[in-house]
Amino acid sequence: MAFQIVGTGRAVPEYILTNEEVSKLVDTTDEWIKTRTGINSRFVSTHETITDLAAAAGKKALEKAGLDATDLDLIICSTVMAEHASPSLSCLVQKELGAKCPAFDINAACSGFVYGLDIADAYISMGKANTVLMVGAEVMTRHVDWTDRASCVLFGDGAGAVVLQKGDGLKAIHLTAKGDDKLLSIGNTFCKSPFGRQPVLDPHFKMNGGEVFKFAVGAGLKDVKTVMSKAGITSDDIKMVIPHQANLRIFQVIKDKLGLSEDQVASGIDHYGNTSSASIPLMLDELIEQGRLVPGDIIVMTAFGGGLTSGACVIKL
Amino acid sequence: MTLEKIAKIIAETRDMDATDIKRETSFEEMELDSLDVVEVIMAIEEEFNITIEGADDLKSVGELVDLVESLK
Repeated sequence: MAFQIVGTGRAVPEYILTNEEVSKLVDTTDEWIKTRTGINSRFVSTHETITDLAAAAGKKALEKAGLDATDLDLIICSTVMAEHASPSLSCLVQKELGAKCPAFDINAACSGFVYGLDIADAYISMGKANTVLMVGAEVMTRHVDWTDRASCVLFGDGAGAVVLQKGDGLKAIHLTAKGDDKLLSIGNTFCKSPFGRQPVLDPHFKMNGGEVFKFAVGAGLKDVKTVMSKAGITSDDIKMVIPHQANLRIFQVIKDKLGLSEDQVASGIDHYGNTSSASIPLMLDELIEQGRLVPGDIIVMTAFGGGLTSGACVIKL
Repeated sequence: MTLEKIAKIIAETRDMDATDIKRETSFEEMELDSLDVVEVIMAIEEEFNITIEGADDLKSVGELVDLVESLK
């Protein structure tokens, strides 16, 4: 366990899409969306690219850390899809920031940020890097079917970033994966080839909501208990659990089962929607900015999603 | 007995009166959506110490009771 968080940043698109606006596009209501998901509005990219969002979040995190882009030894971005298949999002962030270090992307869907923290920890532990920028960036609103009322209401766009340096902030981390392409999927599209006979996949987000909910709650609870036990902490030690912002009802089950108070569970789903791997760093930066999290606080992050993947960690800020 | 226990679990999830929940009551009548059903199933799994699969097609309390009975 080798890093501490020395700076956080976030970036969201300008356009705010309210439930009222969504109900003009598909047959739904503000009331239905609010009670079923906890979402009131979400940020939706119009002109902003995922690179714009990721670079802006990274820049702010560096500023808060009081570091220069040239101080970075590694840039990792997590995303389900960057602007290009190549170059990676991380390489374009490196270019935008003026950094000189290696850069690569990872994809663990909604758990991508926690997976990235694990990689950063390994690099820093081994002495291969001293300063790492980890960015979770997603433009999920471009992966949904805007005629499907069950899914298009759920998502938003944004990017959140942390700068990590050698330290003892990370107390425990745990990842899982359980390969499955039936419960949650987004298909990639490829160029036509005279030889290719592979099935063409649907590029729209598809999910078996009930089963994914069951996975999310089960994995989230198990992962959180695992990292709490590894870190030797109890619920009373936790200032806040930051769950992946997928659905308010997942938070409620986690809160009840872990015996946490309302204040101990971070919720920003009302104004972000589900931003996949950007959701945890977006929340973290917002909570620090609001003064609700301060240095010394113990937080637990828990993420779950496509893959199926999950991951949790305990960090002392 | 199974019906009473399941009715109690559903009543707690949906904040309603357990005595209003009969065998013939449908999930739709109780306004249980897919996530509510999963919450109920998880609570039942814990209560009866069983693993429930194939709950997607269930429509009523009676069907759920029969499935749980068959797994006990």
